[in-house]
Amino acid sequence: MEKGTLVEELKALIIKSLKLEEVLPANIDPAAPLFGSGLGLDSIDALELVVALEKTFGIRIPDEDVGKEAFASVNALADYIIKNKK
Amino acid sequence: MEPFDHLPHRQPFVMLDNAEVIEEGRHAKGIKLITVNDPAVLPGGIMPDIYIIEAMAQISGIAGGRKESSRFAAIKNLNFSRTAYAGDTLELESIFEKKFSGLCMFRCRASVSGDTVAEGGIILYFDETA
Repeated sequence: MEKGTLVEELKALIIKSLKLEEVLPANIDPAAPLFGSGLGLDSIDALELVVALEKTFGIRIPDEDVGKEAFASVNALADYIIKNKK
Repeated sequence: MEPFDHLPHRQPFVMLDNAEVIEEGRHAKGIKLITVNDPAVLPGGIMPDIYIIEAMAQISGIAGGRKESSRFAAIKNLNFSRTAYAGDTLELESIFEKKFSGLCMFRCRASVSGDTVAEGGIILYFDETA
């Protein structure tokens, strides 16, 4: 899977699954943190995103430590999916 | 099973009259008998949606099996299809879906005679240190 395409798919998935209706894909910086200072997502969004990622890409994010690495940014999430997708 | 054996809640805030654990830590069913003299019921016999959500959270707490250390955190994509009234038996079912970072997602349904009243996600926080 080509990373650029995956990054765009992830932006669309984040907006749809978290119902970020006011956010456009172009406004999501793929290098910015997803939580806190970046998109400003919270722990409940993280749970929703884990469920959506498992359903869409068949990957597992088993715990918070792995989540910190995978959710560092959209780019980091794309790298995690490429590395772990079955 | 008495619901308060598995919940920290006490009357009048126990929103279940009976509950059954189908699979420990994952799946539970329960009922709420809606009566006109229930303090939660509005004049006219309408069961307010907020108390139905609370009943869904309580059956999810029983499904999760963590009596003292669970907290109601959020609802997700929860939709109401009809109103429940005094005289109805509200049937509740909750199934564990996913846990991440202390938060647990449950898929939950409230129904009357098989008709869906409300359906959606209930998120509970389980305090791992408790």
